[in-house]
Amino acid sequence: MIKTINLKKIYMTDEVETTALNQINLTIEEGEFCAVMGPSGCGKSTLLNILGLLDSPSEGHYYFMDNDIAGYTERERVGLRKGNIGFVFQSFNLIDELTVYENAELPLLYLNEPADQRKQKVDTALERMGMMHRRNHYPQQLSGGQQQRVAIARATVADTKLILADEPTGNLDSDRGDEVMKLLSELNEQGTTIVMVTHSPHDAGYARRVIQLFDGEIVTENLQEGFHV
Amino acid sequence: MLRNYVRVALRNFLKRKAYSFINVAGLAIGVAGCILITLYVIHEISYDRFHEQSDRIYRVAQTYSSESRTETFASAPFPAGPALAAEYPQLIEKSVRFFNLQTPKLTLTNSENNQSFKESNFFFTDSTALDIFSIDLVDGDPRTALNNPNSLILSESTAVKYFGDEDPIGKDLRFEGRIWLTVTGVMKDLPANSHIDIDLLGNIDALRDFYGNFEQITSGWFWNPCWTYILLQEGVDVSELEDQLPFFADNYYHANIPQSEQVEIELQPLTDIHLHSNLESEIKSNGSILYVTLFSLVALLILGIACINYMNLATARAADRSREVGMRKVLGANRRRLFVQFMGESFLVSLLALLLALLIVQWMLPLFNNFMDLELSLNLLESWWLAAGMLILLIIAGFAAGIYPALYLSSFEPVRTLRNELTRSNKGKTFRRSLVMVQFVVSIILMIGTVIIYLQLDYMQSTEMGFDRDHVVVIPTDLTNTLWYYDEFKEQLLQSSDIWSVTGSSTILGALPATYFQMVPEGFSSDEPQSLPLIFTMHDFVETYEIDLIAGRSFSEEFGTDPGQAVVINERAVDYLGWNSPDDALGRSIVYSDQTHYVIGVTENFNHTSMRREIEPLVLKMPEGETTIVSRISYLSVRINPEQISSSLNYIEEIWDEFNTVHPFEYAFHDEELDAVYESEAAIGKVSASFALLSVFIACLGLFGLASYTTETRTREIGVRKAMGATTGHILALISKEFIYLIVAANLVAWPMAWYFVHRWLSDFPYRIDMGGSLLWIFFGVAVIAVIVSFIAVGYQSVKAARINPAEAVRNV
Repeated sequence: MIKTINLKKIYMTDEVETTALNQINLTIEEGEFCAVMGPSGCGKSTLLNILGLLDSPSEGHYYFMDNDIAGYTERERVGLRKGNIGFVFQSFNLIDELTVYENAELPLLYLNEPADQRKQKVDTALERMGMMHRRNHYPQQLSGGQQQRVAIARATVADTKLILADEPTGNLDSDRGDEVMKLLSELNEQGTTIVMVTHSPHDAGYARRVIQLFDGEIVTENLQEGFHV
Repeated sequence: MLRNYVRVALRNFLKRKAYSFINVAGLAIGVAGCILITLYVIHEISYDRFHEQSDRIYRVAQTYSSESRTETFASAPFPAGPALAAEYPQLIEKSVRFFNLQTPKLTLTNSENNQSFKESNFFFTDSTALDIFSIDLVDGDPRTALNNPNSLILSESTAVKYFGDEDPIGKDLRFEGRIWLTVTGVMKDLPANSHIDIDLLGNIDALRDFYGNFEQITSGWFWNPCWTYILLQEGVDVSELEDQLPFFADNYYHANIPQSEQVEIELQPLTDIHLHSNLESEIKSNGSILYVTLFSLVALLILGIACINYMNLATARAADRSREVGMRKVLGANRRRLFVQFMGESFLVSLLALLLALLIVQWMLPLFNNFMDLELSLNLLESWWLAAGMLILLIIAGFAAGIYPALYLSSFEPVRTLRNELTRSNKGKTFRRSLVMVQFVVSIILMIGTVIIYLQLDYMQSTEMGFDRDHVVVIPTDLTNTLWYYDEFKEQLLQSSDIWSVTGSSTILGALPATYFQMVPEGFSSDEPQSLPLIFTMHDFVETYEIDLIAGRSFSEEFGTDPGQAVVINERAVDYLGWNSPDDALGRSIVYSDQTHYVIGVTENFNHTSMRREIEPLVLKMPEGETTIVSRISYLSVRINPEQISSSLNYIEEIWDEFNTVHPFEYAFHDEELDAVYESEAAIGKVSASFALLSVFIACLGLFGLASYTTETRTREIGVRKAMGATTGHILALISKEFIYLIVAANLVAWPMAWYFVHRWLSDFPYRIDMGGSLLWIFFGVAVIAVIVSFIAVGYQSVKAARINPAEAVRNV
């Protein structure tokens, strides 16, 4: 599903050139649950953004679902992202002006899905996340854990193949965090590929593979036998 | 998706009520101003277009030029229209004349109830009037209504005035107590957008019985009292006729008028008269294309300012929306979709603003009409084009206001917005500040313009014109009996100790132009007569108006020969005629109307026309004999005791009624008549003042909005500063400083532009306010006002910010 070859990302400012990612060679198969760990500033989020087609690499190749996205325009990246990739953020990033239902519905609107199908899919997604009873609430009326569940519902509502999660439990207490991780595990069992950036070894324990980044490079890559189920 | 956009827009709108209010109210006020001005502009450019044949109707105007003057008149001699139509039948289908006896008000009496009215819009015309102009009769036969000499057509409202509910057809009315006219038709009231207001139409031939010398006066080519129109044949290009006019002038005019006068005839398209014609003897004072253009520009400016506000706030608030934009992009929205979303929001705000603006217009329209002396109305159901115009306005406003924020917001990169990198960005700050500055530049120019217009108006109205205009009652006398008994009337008036002086004249001094007459002054040969302005006056004219004499004497009853042989001239005439000094002028001769007159006195210069014109040479002369008095004198001037105004007026009326049974007593104060001369300047002053207020208000709304945003985004900075020891005063200065700088900069940009506009406007006036140092004081004063007003606008936000609890401020962000 994901393959990078010699991926490099360089940020240029007026005077400084910062290499955020260097020579990243990575393959992630469909159905994997992969955690990316490393200290702050090691390039975890940059990698996630590139994998999520939100950003493009400076050098190297990135194949997503067999498409080499090097040289893709923004419009082409949007086209590929829609319906294939879902995002879960540390700060949830729900739109305050939309209700739970409307937030979850948003990806389907951009996919131009017909209204009856939208309703069915949103209902299913919210049901699965146990948020149906809050469908008419606004984000600010929910707890952090509930907001993250809505964000996961939003990320999966379009039957996405890949979920990219950036510190999904970072703003939650440990109980709520576990709930979220269990939901992600369930999704992975059902076939969704998950790539998660995290600081937490506990959360990383849910992943089958853990990739350690340091100064923009992959330093270790471990398959875990005793990951949480 | 559309529903989603509308939902987000509405919820955003309700969530930030203050911003939303500023946005909608600011835009609504701007749009309302724009609609009001547009209604006015549409009214102005619609003049005379209701006549079905307006594209073929032209007015005959003519320029008389001689060595001493060049003047273009809106009216023509009696024979001009018929002669043109007879000479060029292949080019001209019909001609028509309108004649009001050169009397501003004519008296008509219903003998049945003995009710008299003075009519300002009464014209004697040709029967072709109904064929040329779209004058619709609601009663009577348009083919015959004006055929008989004593025919009379009344407007519907005039018919009600004279006859109430009764059918007026066949009823008789008495004109000036002398001839009977019979109502043969009732016409619909003409719309307000007509350059000629008509309430009554009679047949010119009716005046045969009115003027003993009718044939003589209607055959002369020098006196030009008839507003004359021609209807071109269909398909004829007006230039074909214009090519013929020099020959026509030679054959008809030059063969019949003094050789020293040259006449040029021009044709004015009917629909151009209101906005493009400002000639001598206009039927009523016309509009001006310059003002219409100016107002249109102002309308656009005001709308522009309001749009800038929206743009500014929407852009300033971008940080609030950045996360939404980022998330939408992450979820699959492309830039085009986001652009459409934000443009949609802008259209929604414009729509709300338009609805609010329509309410404001409905509420303001009566005030505006009253203020501008207009009868504008806004009825979208009746005028599809107005509704279409509103829609276009909505689109323009929505587009103008929304395009920049939409482009700006939709350009956000999702990675950065989700990392919250944009919230504290200063991107676009300079642009936003420039936009606010532009608003203040416009407001400052308008404020300066308004002050200058009012100062110039006040200057023209209050500057000494060389005569004393206060406490002089002016009484129109045309066609009344008074002048036949002038001496007795005067004597009776003077019996009251509150009546200080009485005189008569052919014009209202300083308010109406004097008529030019041909005369041969000493030192000029009879082959080179001079055209000089002449005012006919009775005894005591110089005394009543307290005009200073610098040589000789004024007309005196002690000298029986004064009416036939004496003239008084002004100092300017002495210079113009090349005489050495006022004393040198005394005793010199001026031949007028084949009679030799001698200069008996020289006055100081005074403005006998208006402050819009340079002082011209002037000759004062008394009419000789009762008939000449009656034909030449049009106004009596009575100086009264300023402490007994009301009883003096009652007394004059009492005496007036003894001499007049037909004509009711009418009067005006001389100073009011003079003020009325500057109506157009007063009107533009009013409009400019309204616009200045409006633009300042909108600009302040914008400033308020921007200040509240700035303080909001600087909360943490303010908290930190306070934690470091900044006082409330420091914070106040910190927030206000940036806006005050902005206003000062706006002043510096506005000043040269304002100076240019003001200078151009003032340069048309020969007598004007000082354009040097005092102008700088006005500029400075306006700058101070702008700073104070803007301080008030940002003050509330600054104080609020300065009183922030630093602990909370730091925690919040």
